[in-house]
Amino acid sequence: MDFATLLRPHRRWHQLIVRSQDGDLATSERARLASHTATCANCAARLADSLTVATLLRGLPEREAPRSFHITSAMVAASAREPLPIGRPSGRPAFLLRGAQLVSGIAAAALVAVLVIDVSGGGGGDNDQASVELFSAKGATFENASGSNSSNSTGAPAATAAASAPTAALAAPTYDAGGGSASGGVPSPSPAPPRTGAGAEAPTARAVADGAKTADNDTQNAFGDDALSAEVREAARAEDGGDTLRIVEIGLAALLVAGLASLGWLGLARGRRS
Amino acid sequence: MARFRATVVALYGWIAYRAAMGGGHEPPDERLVLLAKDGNLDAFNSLVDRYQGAVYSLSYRLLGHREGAEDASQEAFISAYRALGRFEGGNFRSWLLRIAANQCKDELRRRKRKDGASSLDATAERDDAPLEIPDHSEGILAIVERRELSQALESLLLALPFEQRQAILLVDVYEFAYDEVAELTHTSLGTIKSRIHRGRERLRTLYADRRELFSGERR
Repeated sequence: MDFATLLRPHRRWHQLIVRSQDGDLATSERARLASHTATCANCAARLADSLTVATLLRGLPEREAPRSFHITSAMVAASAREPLPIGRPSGRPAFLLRGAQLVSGIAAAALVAVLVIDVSGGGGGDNDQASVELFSAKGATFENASGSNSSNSTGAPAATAAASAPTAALAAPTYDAGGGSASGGVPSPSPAPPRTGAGAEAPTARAVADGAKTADNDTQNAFGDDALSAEVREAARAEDGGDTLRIVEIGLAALLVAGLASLGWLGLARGRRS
Repeated sequence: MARFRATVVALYGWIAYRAAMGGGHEPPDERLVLLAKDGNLDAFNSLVDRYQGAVYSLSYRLLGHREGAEDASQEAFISAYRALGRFEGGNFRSWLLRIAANQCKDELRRRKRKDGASSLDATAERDDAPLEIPDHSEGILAIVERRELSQALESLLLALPFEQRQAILLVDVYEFAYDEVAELTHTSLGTIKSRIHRGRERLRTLYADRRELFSGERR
């Protein structure tokens, strides 16, 4: 039993009496109230008064209108210059306002998340890093490829030199080509096993020349197919990821701006209406 | 061309209205509402004739004075005519009374701004103040007829704060459901229940204190 009931022990009966005016007391509640009012004069009087007031209210007659409230076209035209005062404002602006708030909030949160990922190196922020790594990786691969080629293709230092020179000369354009492929080109899809120079068996001048040519081819093959392809693909993927992140960032920023603009517009409209 | 079109529409509306009103029986609300939605002012004024007593009564009981009730009633009908496009069927009388109830609240606000008369806030603050009801002691003997009895009850109602009075009138007199009143007043169902509970208790106390005003009712 709570404190209020201790102070006013008939409180629950009073509540039942008020509720009885709605006529929706359960049968058991009605029976309990009847048995209580049979023994409690105060509650009985209260119930009688409540029922009398309820009856009077229900029987309250309509007042006669003191004049006609017919409307005219002039009245309608005059009131048309003012906004409709009835009811609550249409639900649409409130709904739009809530929608704009939601969209702005989500866009802002997502933008922050994407920026954090970007800056912390999870995506597009890695691009430069990836390019640098790719650059050094290509250099190393090229050296490995030419080194292995020279050691395998000839037994003579001349041939090695002849093989090395064009290979070295090839380095820059191939490098550019690699860079090109990294920034949009299609890297070699199937990595081939490392190949050794064919000119290693006949160390003649022709063989040396052949060896140099073969070395060139091998270098290109090793460059394009083998060692580089995986890194190029990796770099391309990083680059693509970076581009995607940029697009997402721009999209989210646009969404945020649109949401904030809608909020401003709806706020102004609401202020004007009120 | 536009003028010709307007004339044709008006003529069609007039013919439809005459057809609806002919036949010796009152056309249902739905029919008049449809005609009024097409811009037929006569059809709408037939609805005004039908419900102006109910609208004025509610306005008077909410505001407590004739001038304000007349203004609120007139505005309610004009607003209803302009908002007919939003009426999606159902009980036209209830819809009209809801508009009138909102109009009364606006009227009360307007009057508060205008002359600092008793406001919503002021009546709400008076909720726990000692009860004050108009003195009818001079006319007690006259309050035996039904009309006088109604006035006595209205005087009790006016002693309630506006929000409680509105809830009691709409539920106990005009038989609105609790949730309808909650929607109309933009409050929760719990608030409406509380207002009705407190309003009924207060009204009962007022009645018990001024039982002699209602002596005619016991006859």
